[in-house]
Amino acid sequence: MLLIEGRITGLILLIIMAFISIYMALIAERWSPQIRQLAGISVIPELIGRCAELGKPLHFTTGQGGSLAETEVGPQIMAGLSVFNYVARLCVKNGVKLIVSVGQTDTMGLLQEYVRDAYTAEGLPVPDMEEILRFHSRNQFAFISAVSGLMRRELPASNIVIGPIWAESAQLVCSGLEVGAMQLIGTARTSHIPFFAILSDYVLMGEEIYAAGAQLSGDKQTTNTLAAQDVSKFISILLLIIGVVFFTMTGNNFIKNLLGM
Amino acid sequence: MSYFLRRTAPLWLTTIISVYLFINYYFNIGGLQIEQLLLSFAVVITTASLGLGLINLSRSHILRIQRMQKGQWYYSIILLVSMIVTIVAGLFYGADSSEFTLLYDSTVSPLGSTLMSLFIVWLAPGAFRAVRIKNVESTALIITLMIILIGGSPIGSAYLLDSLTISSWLNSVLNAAAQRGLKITIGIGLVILGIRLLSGLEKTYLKGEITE
Repeated sequence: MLLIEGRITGLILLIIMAFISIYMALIAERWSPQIRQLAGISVIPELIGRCAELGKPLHFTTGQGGSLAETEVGPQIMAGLSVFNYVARLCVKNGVKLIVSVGQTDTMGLLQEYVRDAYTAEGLPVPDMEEILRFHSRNQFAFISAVSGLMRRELPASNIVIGPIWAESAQLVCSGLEVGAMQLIGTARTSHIPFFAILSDYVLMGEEIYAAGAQLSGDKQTTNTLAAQDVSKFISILLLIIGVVFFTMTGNNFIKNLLGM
Repeated sequence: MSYFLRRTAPLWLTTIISVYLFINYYFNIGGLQIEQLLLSFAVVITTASLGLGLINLSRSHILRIQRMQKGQWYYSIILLVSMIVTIVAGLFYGADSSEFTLLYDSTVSPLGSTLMSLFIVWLAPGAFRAVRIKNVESTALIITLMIILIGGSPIGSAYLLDSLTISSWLNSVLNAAAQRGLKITIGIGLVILGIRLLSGLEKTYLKGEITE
């Protein structure tokens, strides 16, 4: 059994990160660092409360593209589902009508389970799934046309989008703006974050969507792993500084070569 | 559903498969190359789930027609008829046939292109919202925006060479640095999420785990 060349440093860094994460989870009962509450996550009850007060529905989507099996977008969809699990519960508890635009068919089963679970937990009969979960299309522009139309018909008071978003970003968020919805948008697609930062009320940028699940769980062990995320960031910054200084002073690409090992 | 099926089984399944894929990525383990098989499972599940989508879409629109939902039922008829015609064309003539591609090329493609071209219309409200001086950051944003606009316009590149230089510097240095910073943190966030999933700490995606 041999290590594959070019992946050795990656493995070492992964082991370090895993070690820190597990260590932080293990000491959670004895010590927990102060974790910054993400504004985008803390505002979710407010978004649902707004819908309850106005008697309007809440719209949720994880976007249209990719699937759970894809390396880049799968975790983003997963993050969206974690948030949805929480949102569904709160919506049912507060009697808010929930509308979910589905684009990734492989999430359909999970979404159905979350909705069913939310109604069962409140002791309420499960309504027609078609009224809540609405599969539009896997085609980008067919999906966004359907979402735009849906928003204009249903006039949601809040719109939550967590997942991979492509060129439909502007139309998605502008449709919400036009109907006066309060919007929380989160994506790790860096090229589309600027639209959301400008047009939506709350944004979960990049890594924040992955942290959302941990924060929502309220579990000390899970939230403690977020500290490991910060430690890993410090290691990256340190490597960057050493690399830049070393290269500037000696012209040697030591860090780059080390990372490429 | 029992606690084992709801929570224990998915967690163990996730951990075992993730550990296997993890080892397979870093080590030459040979002889046990089942990752392609696992990936093909994913493809099959994704494809099969399209059926779920189809059922959901059909039921949703049939309900609208049954209820004669105001302003919507006739669109539902159009959608269902289009869907049936496309499925029939695909099944009888094949997905590569000229009949099937004609359907696609004469409807979906032009509609998609039209919507893509409307992208700029959707950008206008964004630009309008962005160019409002509210604080230091928004002022810096407007100044940057003006430089990029001038640098990208024909008159700017023809007569104001400096603005083009500043514009490309802003893009290739400041913008690239910010984008890379974001990408590094996204990568780290992804790895930590992976570790949480692998160790069974991330449970919010599981049925029945949220207790707000």
